[in-house]
Amino acid sequence: MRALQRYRIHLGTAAWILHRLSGLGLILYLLLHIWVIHHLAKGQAEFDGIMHSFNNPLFKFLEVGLVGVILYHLWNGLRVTLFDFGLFIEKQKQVFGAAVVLWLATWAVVAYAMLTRVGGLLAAVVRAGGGGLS
Amino acid sequence: MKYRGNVRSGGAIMWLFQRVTGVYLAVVLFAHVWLLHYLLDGELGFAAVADRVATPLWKTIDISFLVVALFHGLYGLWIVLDDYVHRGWLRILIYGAISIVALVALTLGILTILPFQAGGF
Repeated sequence: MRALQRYRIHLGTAAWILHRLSGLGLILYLLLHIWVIHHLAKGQAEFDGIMHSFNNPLFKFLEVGLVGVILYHLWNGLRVTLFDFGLFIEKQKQVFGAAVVLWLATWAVVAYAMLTRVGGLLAAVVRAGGGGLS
Repeated sequence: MKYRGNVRSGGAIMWLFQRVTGVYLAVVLFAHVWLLHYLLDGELGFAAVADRVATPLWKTIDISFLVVALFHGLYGLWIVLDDYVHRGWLRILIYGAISIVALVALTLGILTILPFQAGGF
């Protein structure tokens, strides 16, 4: 029981450290995002040109990673917010499990949507690898 | 992010605000990612974005998103640095730098969003 309690503390602390690290990453990304979009929005040619250059497997991979970081911060933040407002405190373990499941499930759904739609990773791989076919 | 009762620096109101903005961002950010990566047909291009951002409703949503995201992110950054930086002058320096970054990013973002009109600038 004592071992289990220690385990839970470690898990909560790890979640808290990851929340801070993901938050630091996200604010840096947000500032970069605002800067890049501002300089892209000057006209259609610049915007479409650079967006097209982002449409390759490397950037798709990075975008899917970014979504994973966002969704971690999102679900862990909602989990902590529930407890802060005194909700489900007696069910902390279940809420932790639910947050992990929701994180991975929503990440999988968004990643699938990003990778399979027109302009997605699979389409980019087909274009890069099978130029002669299209 | 755990709150550590620092009443002097603003306290419970800011703590509550960080939660409320977090919940708002959870909804709008999910919509933002889903809309730009799934609902648009074809490659993400200028025309589709411009048509959407040209409407007053989307301008309002995007500017509120910008303001809330910058606040939540930069206030969070301050909270983290607050735990590790204890020298008075350095804290003031960091606080000032974060405020300047906030103003610059806010200005850039609003200047990006406002000029969009249907059919181009």
